[in-house]
Amino acid sequence: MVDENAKELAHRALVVEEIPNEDAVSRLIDFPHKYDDFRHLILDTAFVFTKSKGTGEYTGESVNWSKYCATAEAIHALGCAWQKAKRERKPDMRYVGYIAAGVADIRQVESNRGHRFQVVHAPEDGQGLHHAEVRYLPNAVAGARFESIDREELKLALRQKFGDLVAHDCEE
Amino acid sequence: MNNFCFNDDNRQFSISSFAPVSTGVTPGARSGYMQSWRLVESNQTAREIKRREAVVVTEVPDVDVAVLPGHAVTEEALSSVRNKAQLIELIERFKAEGFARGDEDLKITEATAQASSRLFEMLPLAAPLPKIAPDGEGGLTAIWTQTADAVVLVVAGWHVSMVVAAATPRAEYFDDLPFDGEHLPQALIEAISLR
Repeated sequence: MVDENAKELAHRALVVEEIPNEDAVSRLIDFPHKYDDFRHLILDTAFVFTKSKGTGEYTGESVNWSKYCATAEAIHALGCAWQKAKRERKPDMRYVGYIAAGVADIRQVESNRGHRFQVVHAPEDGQGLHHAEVRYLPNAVAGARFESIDREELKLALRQKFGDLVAHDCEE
Repeated sequence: MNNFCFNDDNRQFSISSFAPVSTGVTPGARSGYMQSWRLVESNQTAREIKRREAVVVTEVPDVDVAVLPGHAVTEEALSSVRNKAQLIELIERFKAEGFARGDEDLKITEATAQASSRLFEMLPLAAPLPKIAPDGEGGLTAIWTQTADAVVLVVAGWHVSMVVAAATPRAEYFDDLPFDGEHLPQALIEAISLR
């Protein structure tokens, strides 16, 4: 369960904090029931980074900052709440657990073409103080390519920094 | 030794064979004597054939051997055929239904489905198969981790790109891998060859 102090803090004016390298982040993982028979063939890259239809920019991927959501119990509680909310629209949705990584490890990722990630605190829009995002940080050098193959390589590198799934089965 | 495959003992087979002529032998030109033979037609059941010497009866494989032209029907080969069929079925579902991940419903385009299905169909039987997922932009990502270094392939419509030794300082990029649906890119074959 999310720390009550964290909830209290969320009601105060939101301050975007710097996430230190020493901290960790977790990522909630879902897997739809209907693809169970194909699970051995499906990539578990866990991150999508879709392009915003409005801005054309790539969206950040949600993670939970360990400062405000540190225990497995707290993270699973977020996952179960997520499942409950999503199932109103998608009955097949299933939260299956989370993966976690050190912030420094994510920030150290750099592809051979110089693309990286940033990890930022993102408590806006009622997401909660624990909410952070991993965002692309493309190579800013003029002429550097940032093609789909670059993005997919980055997703693989990012997944490699996260550990194994800490599995969970929400009680109905 | 003959391997004879069937699983219904009562099934009838038409047998053509040569039998020695019973009236004796005919003198040969050089070797002294030459046996005379005649063609014999008969119907036998599978059970009768089983009784023959040097005939080994094996189970019929549950995949038509016609799908493996030029390959021995081994368990590995059959498994590869099944997995490949499942991979292509998965691609069709990604196109038709999408794959829900996070808050997104990820679908692949018709062209991506066509190109990627064709590409995987053409992979050699001995080649390892990748894991796949929609890339979130209408394309399909395939990753091989059975190789020494990971190989990442993106199929976006009929445009194919690849990175070998992905996520390492030795990463090598192929931004426009030629693929016409008829010939597999040589760089891909080399990249996914198990070493």
